[in-house]
Amino acid sequence: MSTIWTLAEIEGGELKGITHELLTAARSLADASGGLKVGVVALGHEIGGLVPLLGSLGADLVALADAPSLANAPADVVARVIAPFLQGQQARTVLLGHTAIGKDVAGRLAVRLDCGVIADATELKNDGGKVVATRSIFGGGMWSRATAAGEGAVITVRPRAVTPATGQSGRTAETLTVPVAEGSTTRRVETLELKQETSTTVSLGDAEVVVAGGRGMGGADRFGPVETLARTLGAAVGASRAVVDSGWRPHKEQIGQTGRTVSPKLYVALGISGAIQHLVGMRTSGTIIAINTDAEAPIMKVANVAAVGDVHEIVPALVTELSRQGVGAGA
Amino acid sequence: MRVVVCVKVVPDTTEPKRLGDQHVLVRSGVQGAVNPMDDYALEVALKWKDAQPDLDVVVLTMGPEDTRAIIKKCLAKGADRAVLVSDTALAGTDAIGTARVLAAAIRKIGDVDAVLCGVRSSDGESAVVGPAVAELLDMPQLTTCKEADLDGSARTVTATREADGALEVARAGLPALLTVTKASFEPRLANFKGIQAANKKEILGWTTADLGITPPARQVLVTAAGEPPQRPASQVLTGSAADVAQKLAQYLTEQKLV
Repeated sequence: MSTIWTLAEIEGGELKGITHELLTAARSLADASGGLKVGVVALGHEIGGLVPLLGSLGADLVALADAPSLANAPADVVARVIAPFLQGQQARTVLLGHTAIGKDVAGRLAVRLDCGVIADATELKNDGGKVVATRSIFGGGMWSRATAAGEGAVITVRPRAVTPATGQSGRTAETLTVPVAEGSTTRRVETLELKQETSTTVSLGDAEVVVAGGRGMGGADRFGPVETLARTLGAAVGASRAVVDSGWRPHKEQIGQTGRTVSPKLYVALGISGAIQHLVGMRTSGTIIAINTDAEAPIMKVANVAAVGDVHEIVPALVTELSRQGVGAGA
Repeated sequence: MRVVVCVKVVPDTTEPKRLGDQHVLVRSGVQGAVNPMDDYALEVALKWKDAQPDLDVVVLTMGPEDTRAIIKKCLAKGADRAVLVSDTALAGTDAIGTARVLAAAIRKIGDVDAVLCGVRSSDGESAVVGPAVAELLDMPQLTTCKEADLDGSARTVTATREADGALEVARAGLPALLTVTKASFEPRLANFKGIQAANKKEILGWTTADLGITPPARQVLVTAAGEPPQRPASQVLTGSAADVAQKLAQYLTEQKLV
């Protein structure tokens, strides 16, 4: 193996959480392989200030592609800029986030590097010099382990699957420059409008805690307990397909087969029966708590804690109890 | 103008899944369905065709011969014709290999202005095939689109797409590739007239030899697969709402989840 490379994600000049997770995963792979280096490629404009932080998070090499046109570059530009650099470095293993931009770049980059993609890995291990990735398949119904058939692979890592290590302030990284060929940053996609979500709530993909509501809530105007508990726990709000199809909640909140897959530390299912199409989107969550009037609902079988009763009575009591203990106070 | 919709036939979600040789999903004899996200991609193309009846909508799939019956449903909904790339050498092809086959077929179809794919399949779930096809065909991509408008005269496509907690309206010049996620509309159902018409439509069968390619070598090896460890049995809480709430709060605190 050679250096294990990762791709940084930057937003508003700051590193996104997935970058910490990728560097943690790469660092432990490198250390387990006996002295391999960890590299990170960062694209953006005036991002040199991030080098010390990337070093403290575990990078030995920080490769900067710094140009005004590279801030929030689209996937085709990212792949075009970093592929020749990674080839020059004889990169084998490249870790990306299984995030919006990571997924968009992975396929394009693998084509350019002529390697395969292992998508949505939840665990990475070094096995005799090869990286072996564990993924959950069929919505968590089974797991599989995959490795590159040839020398390397692009691997996307599920957000929150890796617990980020705390940085070591003494570590320093060597800075490299990614050559940016003329014409390689030409954009073929133009953003006409960006509607940032106006809500102050946590976004589903990044959330450590998700509180989701289903048909058992009883109506679009009866989601109060979901929102209140989410606020108390600092959680993102999710929804089942049934309530999205009924127009009670927007599709961006849908968890499951035709919505998002989430893997938070804590998943709270309120009035969700747990159809298989829902379970595939949340089964790999750390701890699952379900509150439902039906003790026999499928969600109650996958939950660590299954509370039988009416969400409209239990949740307000729970919020009161938690705030008595100082949880969510001032939130 | 011509649009290709890439469709994958996947095992029905509710069917038990079985892994065979080399941990490859057993597909034969399993009840199949059009991947739900691909159904939305087809609907986008058919909406374009509603507005522009001379648009040529070609459905492209790769899979065993017995997927014909399912692909016919796409023709019954209104697609003009279909191409099935079927080759025993393609069994177990990985995501990037699949993209190489699809890209070769799209080149052979020729004069394609837009390619539509579901954002991901419900069985593989890698979400990388679409972008890989775009790279192979040197097309820009608009991913996770919820709706899209085709402008034939300006030769552009404008889409509303989900982008990390925001909705983006973005425009790309043609030819372009779009991946479609669950939209705000439901895919249409085939009507009787459509089902009749589908009997007269063509499903071309191509092999890798017809495409002039060798079957892509596998670049990812699956080395092991299995059932997940059983979760410990649920701890069931019953009683008054106040009791249950108190026990839940205690659990959350003890497990350091709050």
